[in-house]
Amino acid sequence: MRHLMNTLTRLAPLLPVGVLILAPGLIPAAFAHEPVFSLGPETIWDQGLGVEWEFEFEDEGDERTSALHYELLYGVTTDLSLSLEVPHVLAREDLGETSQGLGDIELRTKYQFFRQDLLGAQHKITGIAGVKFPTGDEDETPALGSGAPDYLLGVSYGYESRTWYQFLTARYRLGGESGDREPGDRVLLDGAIGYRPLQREYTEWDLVVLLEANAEFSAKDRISRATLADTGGERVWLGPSALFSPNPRWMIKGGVQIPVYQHLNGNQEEAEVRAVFAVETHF
Amino acid sequence: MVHFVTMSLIILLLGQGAPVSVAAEGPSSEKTQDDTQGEKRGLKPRIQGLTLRVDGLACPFCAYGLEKKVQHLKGYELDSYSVKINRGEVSFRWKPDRPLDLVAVKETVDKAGYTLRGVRVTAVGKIVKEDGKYFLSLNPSFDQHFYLYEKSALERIKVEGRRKEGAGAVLTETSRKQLDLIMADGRLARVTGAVHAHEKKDASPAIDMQRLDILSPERPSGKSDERAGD
Repeated sequence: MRHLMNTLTRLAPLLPVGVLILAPGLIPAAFAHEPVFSLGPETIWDQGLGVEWEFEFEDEGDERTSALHYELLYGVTTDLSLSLEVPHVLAREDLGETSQGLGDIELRTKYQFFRQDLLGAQHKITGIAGVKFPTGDEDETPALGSGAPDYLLGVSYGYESRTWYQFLTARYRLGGESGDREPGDRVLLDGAIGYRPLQREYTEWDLVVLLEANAEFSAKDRISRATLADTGGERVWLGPSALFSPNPRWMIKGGVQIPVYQHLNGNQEEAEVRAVFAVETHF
Repeated sequence: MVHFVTMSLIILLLGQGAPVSVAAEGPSSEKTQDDTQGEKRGLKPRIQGLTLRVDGLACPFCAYGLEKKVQHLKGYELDSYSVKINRGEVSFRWKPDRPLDLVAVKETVDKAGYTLRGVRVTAVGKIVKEDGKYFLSLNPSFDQHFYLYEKSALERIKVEGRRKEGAGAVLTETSRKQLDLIMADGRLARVTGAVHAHEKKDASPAIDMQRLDILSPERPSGKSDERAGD
């Protein structure tokens, strides 16, 4: 009981900000120092609070999406963090139709179960779990959400040092059923290598450049237990990204990727490009 | 879109509360302006500052969490935080009315998500001797004592396998003479060195004495402190 009360006390600072987060287009939230196109092993310090504003763009032939993501990160303990991501779709275009509005909100938790500290470096391994709520309107054309909860499980390894960065992440996304439709499960494998060209001091600006590779393996969707031929497939993205901190409180990051390999089932449009630009801060 | 811009501005304004601390140099073994002024006013026994050796400080953005946590240490003196990130060193001044709490310092680093490898302290106090052992006493400011030793002397004892001069053998003969002189004069001394909790539960924390300065009232010549052995 005491442990439960302690945990609830630690979560209390989230409440007022959480209310504002859930209103579309309001207060963004913060995240950590990680690859731009995947999740990494970072948590945040005990009772730390982080906020991130992220703009993303993806071009998949006939379908183009641009969205703003607001993320809030909270350190329940040094090893355990919670994050809430609220997407606001600015425009989703498909076959001449356009929709915009709130997408599917995602709640995630990370637990860092291994950490080794060295002079100027860290190894860490983190377990990831999350649930995506069907808050986006699936009746819009094109749909803003999946219409059903999705579940996420993953593990991430990271090595950070004053010069080199390495990240490896594996995620499994389980699609929830929406009516008689069940989206195919997805496996995502991510890798990134980064380099800090100048080892500057604490209060000076800091730059890390990365090369990120992300592979997606999607099973076919099903309707009434029958698979849909024009769904699912594999894709590998590759591209550069950068993390720039003008000072220790702020980070600006961005990246662009192109698909270097695509094998999509049936008759599907191939992706062309995707890009992310984000700003983070923490308190 | 208007909501986004408005709320972004609010977040930015709220976030400005505590700017990144850019401190003057942390505690060092060099004489500072504060020391001169303090001596003129009559310096009291106190902890002047700490330098922490911390592992895991890979990037400034991530290391900011340690700055946030240190700011909550009861002895932390505002706006005195400085980091040499390439050396894994974090320095800050300590409030004159607070004793050193090594447990709190370690917990602070743990909660920030890093590992504390060592603490170097600069402390001012009186030299006292008890049962042949030398201590830096922070009385009457507060009831805290630091056992003084020198690693080089300890290693000599280990090599020779015996203690010839009793409990004081953990210090070199030169250091013992200097400390005896300081005691006899009743002056304050400033000691800098690596500090750690003693193995015995109720024993005083120990300082591996790396530098010893004698603090004395300002003389007509303007020289207000001297280094032991000068």
